[in-house]
Amino acid sequence: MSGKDLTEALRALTEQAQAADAGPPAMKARGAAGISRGSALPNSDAATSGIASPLVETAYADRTFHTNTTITSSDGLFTLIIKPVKTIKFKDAASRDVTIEFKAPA
Amino acid sequence: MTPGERFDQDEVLRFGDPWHGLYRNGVIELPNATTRAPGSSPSSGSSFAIQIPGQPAATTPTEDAAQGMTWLNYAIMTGDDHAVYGRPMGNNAWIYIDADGVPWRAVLTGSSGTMTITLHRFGLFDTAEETYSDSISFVWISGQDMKVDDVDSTGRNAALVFRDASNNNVQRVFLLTLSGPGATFTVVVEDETPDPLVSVDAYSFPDSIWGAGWHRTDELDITGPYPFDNYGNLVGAPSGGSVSKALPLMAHYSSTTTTIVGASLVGDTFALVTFTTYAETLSVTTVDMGNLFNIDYYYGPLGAYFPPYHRVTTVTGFERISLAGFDTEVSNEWSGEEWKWPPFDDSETDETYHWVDSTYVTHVVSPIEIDGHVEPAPLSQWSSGGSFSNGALRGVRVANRAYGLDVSGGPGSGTRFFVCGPADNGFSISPDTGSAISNATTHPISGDFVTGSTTVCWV
Repeated sequence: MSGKDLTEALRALTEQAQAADAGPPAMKARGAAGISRGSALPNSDAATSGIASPLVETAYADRTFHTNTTITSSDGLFTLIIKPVKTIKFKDAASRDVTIEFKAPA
Repeated sequence: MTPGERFDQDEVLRFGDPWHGLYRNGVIELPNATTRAPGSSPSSGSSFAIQIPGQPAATTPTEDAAQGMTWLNYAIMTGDDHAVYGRPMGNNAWIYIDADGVPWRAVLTGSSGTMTITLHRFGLFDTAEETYSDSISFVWISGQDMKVDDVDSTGRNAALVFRDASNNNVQRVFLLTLSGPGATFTVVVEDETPDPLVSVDAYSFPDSIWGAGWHRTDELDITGPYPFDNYGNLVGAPSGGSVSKALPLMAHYSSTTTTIVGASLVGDTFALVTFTTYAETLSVTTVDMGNLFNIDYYYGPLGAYFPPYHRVTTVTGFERISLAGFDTEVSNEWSGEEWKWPPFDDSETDETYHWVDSTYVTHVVSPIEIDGHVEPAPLSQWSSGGSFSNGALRGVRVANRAYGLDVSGGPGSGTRFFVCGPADNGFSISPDTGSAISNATTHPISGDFVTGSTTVCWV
């Protein structure tokens, strides 16, 4: 590489670096944006704003359960009867209904 | 989540009691070489399995084993107060696994002429009480205390032992059997008391010389010795004249006495626990032949002359406890001598001579040796196999499957020579170190037998 080539290369690099620091492009003129449309799932209040925390369970009595399952102690003497939760109903902060559904245990 | 915390969406993987091992010195010795405080301390070394037939085998995950847990497919009931999961139900209650494999708490109660078993459904939470009962006629005898000596692994059989309230001797033994589903169960009680309650087998060796009578005619001709008949008359002696009677010249006899000390259900098989003492006695009497008819030794009550004598008696034998067919025994031997009208007086003897009165003295030649070690002074008052002064050797129940040989009564009371289980035993090194065998426990499944100076129990 000749001395001239080296000088040219350094200049080119310097200009690139200066260009990178040039800042954001100028703001577009008002109304320059094109028309666009949003979409949402039908019949859903949440669609417009999501679930608002906190979720508060409506009442324990509102829970529904899967069929009872039993589990016994290893020695067989004691039996626990367990009713697995199927659904729990909540109200969110905007008093909208939220339901969580659980699968039955395998 | 920290183990032990609860959340509705948790899944229960295992539950029950995973803390099993030997209870000793107040803690459970776990298989990972750590210890754990028990929920409650067993009241004795009694340990019972509660096994539901067909209950699937349990496996212990590595992570649980690392914590010292062992998951078992059977439960263990501990102590003679029958504690399950650390809660004592009382000696008169146990867990009955019914014909359908359902557990019930069986409670035995009695009233005049009746024995009642009441079943309470066991092992359900927050459910209505469910009970059933069945009664049979039964004779209760005052002064006898009932104890449930053992229970089998399903609680379908229980050994009921009645002991004299004052001396603790076994009086009656019953096998109680429960059968059927809980709702329609039945109770049956069978009398297993042996007849006779105490069996004594006596034997006279043929080398005995029972005859020890002499006859003197009015002409002072002396003949003998003659044997006695059942009325004390000399057999074969001339009539008239005078008679001199001494103790048998050689009495050689044995006796085997078997008593019941409890009942067990090792391997779910009912068996009486027996205590047998065998003693072979050899007494050789030397009569002062020069004084057969000395008026100084006329012995009024016998109606005959009674010559001075010296007698040496040796007793050898054994004491044995049989538990579920397994025998544990110790040998014993003792030798003593006695004089009637001795040719010396008490000024010539030391304290080892016992002067009953001025004409009769006894002396221990060799003190009692049991299991090869000489017993302390109180036991040297031995008179015959198994008894001495006011004490006796006897078998005692230590736990449901552990029995001991003890001195009961007298100065040596409480001395223990051995404890035994259905497959193993432990002996005292000497009476002074017998405390190491004051407690014992047999594992209801493995049969492992452990002794200790304080309560030991498989939990």
